[in-house]
Order: sequence, then structure tokens, then C-alpha cells
Amino acid sequence: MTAPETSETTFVVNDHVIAVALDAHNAPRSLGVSISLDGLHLRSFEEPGWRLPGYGVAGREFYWWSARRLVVVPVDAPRELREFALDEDILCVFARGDSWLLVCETSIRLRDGATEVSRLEFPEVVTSARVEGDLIVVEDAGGVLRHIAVSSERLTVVDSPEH
Amino acid sequence: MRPRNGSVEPTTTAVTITRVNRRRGLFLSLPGLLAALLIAAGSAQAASAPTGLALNTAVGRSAPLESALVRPDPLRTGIAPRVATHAYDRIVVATGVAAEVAAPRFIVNGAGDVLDTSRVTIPEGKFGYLLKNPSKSGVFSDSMGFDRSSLDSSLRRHLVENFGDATPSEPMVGGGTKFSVTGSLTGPSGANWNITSVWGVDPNGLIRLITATP
Repeated sequence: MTAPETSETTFVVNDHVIAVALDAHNAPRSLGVSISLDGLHLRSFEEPGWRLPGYGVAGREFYWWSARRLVVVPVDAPRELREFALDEDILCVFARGDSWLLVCETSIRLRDGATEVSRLEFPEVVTSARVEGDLIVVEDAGGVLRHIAVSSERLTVVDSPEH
Repeated sequence: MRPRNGSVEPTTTAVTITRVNRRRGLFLSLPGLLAALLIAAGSAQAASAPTGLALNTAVGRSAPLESALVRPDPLRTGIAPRVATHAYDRIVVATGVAAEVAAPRFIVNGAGDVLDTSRVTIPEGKFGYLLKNPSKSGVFSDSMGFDRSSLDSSLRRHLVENFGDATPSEPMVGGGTKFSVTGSLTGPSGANWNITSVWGVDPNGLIRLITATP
């Protein structure tokens, strides 16, 4: 990971201002992440420092993820943060209703709260993921595309791999 | 035993394979494993050539290696299952094979999984991925100081050294299974990280590095 030793990024989510401050002094060992909402400091995290955080918005929730943790920040009261830890690097996160779809380095996981509902293990590292209609399209380092259907209960590969 | 190796095919040697279930995969019988270990030690030639190479048995007797391999009931040699690796080590010493070359081909962990190290491969693209990708290079290149050659040997050794605590195999999309091992790894720079390496066991039996991560 290459990043300035300290930085701050501001997001506006439904008229709420969220500031994310990063401290990369100890990268790649660790990365300090500090979250503020409308000028109030919410919480600081000590995260793995080899991968930069990612950010997303779903409805009235802002969320961010580090290599190993997803943190959901509701912009409305009571503003209680929710977080989920993983044992694999997270590449991208999509909100699907009340569930979270986490695209990891070599797998894709469907979580409902703290419970992992379904998981697919890939034979190659994932390089990108996107949503096409009702499907998640995942591409791996070998150029293989997989289309994955997501229900509330499971993940299913709906077609054979294509290059 | 779970399938860590795809190379152990039923042959006319004493190797016996029985499928037990999906989770555990292939089972290499004890006589079969013993014979496979002996073969891996380079003893295939010894078995058919009059080298005089002897196999020390658990009861302190020596039996000609050839007879140990071809007799109808190898268990009657008195070799206890737990002695397999031990017996193999003695053969390595007896044949004078250098330690560098004599790394055991088959590694057995406490769960009974067998790793065939001759089927381990690290695809060339993985070195670029681990050493140049921004989310990896900070650890493997910048911090640990690996280059292609040192990373190759270190990851292979990391697999062997930590195979004893390998995770259970999980099925992969498209076939095959994957497992991971975790353990300390020190790079040429002297930096030490706790590294998890993830390996796929392809349907063709290759044990292929998928990724490594702190």
C-alpha cells in the first residue's frame, strides 16, 4: 500500500458530513482510521495497513472497509456503528437489502448481520467485481468472468466461466 | 486423508487408494503410504537393483528393502504406521542423499492429510502479484525484501513447515479444493510476518499457490 502518512477524506451522505482520517505511519503493519460524523468523533480503529480502505453508501448508511473489517455507520440517530471482521482481505462490499455481500481476495461471502449465510471459494484471486442487474460479476486474475446470483439465502454461480 | 496430492494413482506397487468421502477425499492406506514414502526416497531403483539397501524395522530387524516392498502383506514387516517417516529418514541417510535433495516428498499431518510436495507449483504470475501489486508489495517486497527466487523457496518451505496445521479443504467453484496454512515467515530483510498462504488442489492434482497474505 502506498499512501501519504496522514490524510483526511470528506464524504457527504444525505446532508451529513463524514470525515475519515488515515494515519499510515506504521503501514503496512497497521493503519489508523478515525471516523467523524458532522464534526463529532465517532471512533478510531487500528486496521491492517497493507490495503487502503474502501467506501460505500447504501440508503442512509455509510460504510467503509479495511483489509479485514467492514464498518457500517448510520448517518441518523442512534448512529451505532456495526462492524464485521473477516479472515480474508476484503476487496469490495455491496449492500443487498439487509445483507452484505463481501467480495474477498479469493472468495465471495454473503452475510446477514454477524452470520455468514453463504460463501463461494474461487480458484484464483479476484481482481474486480461489479453488479449487473441481479447478478454480481466477478473477474479473476486469469481473466475468468463469473456471474453470481444472490438470494437472501445463498450465492449461486449461474453460468460457466468465460474469458 | 484429505486430498493434498493428486499424484498418487493406483499402480501395481503397494499403493492403495480408497475413496472414503468428499471431505476426506483420498485415503492412502498405511502399506501404500509406506511404499510411497519409500519410492519417494528414491528407492524405486533400489527395490529392483541388488544394492543391499536394508530397511530397519520397528522390531530392530533388518529386512531387504525389495522384499518389504513386494511381499504380499507389507504390514508383516513389523513396521508400525507411525514409523513410516522415521523409516524413510533412515533410508535417506543410508543412501547418502544430500539433505537439500532429500526433503520428503510426502508430508503427513496430524489429521492424516498427505501433501505430495512434488505436485506443488507456484504460477509465474503470482510473483508479480505478490511483489508488485500495491496491496501486496508493501509486505512481501518493501518490508520483507523478497525477490522472485527467495519468495518461491520461502513459500514452498512455508507450506511444508505449516502443513501440520492446515485448514480443512473447501470445495472451489469449478472443481478442486483449497486449503491454507498460516505461520511465521521471515524475509531476506529480516522482517517477520505471520503469513497465510492459500493453495488450490486442482482436479488434475496440482497443488497451486493462489495467494499469500499477512
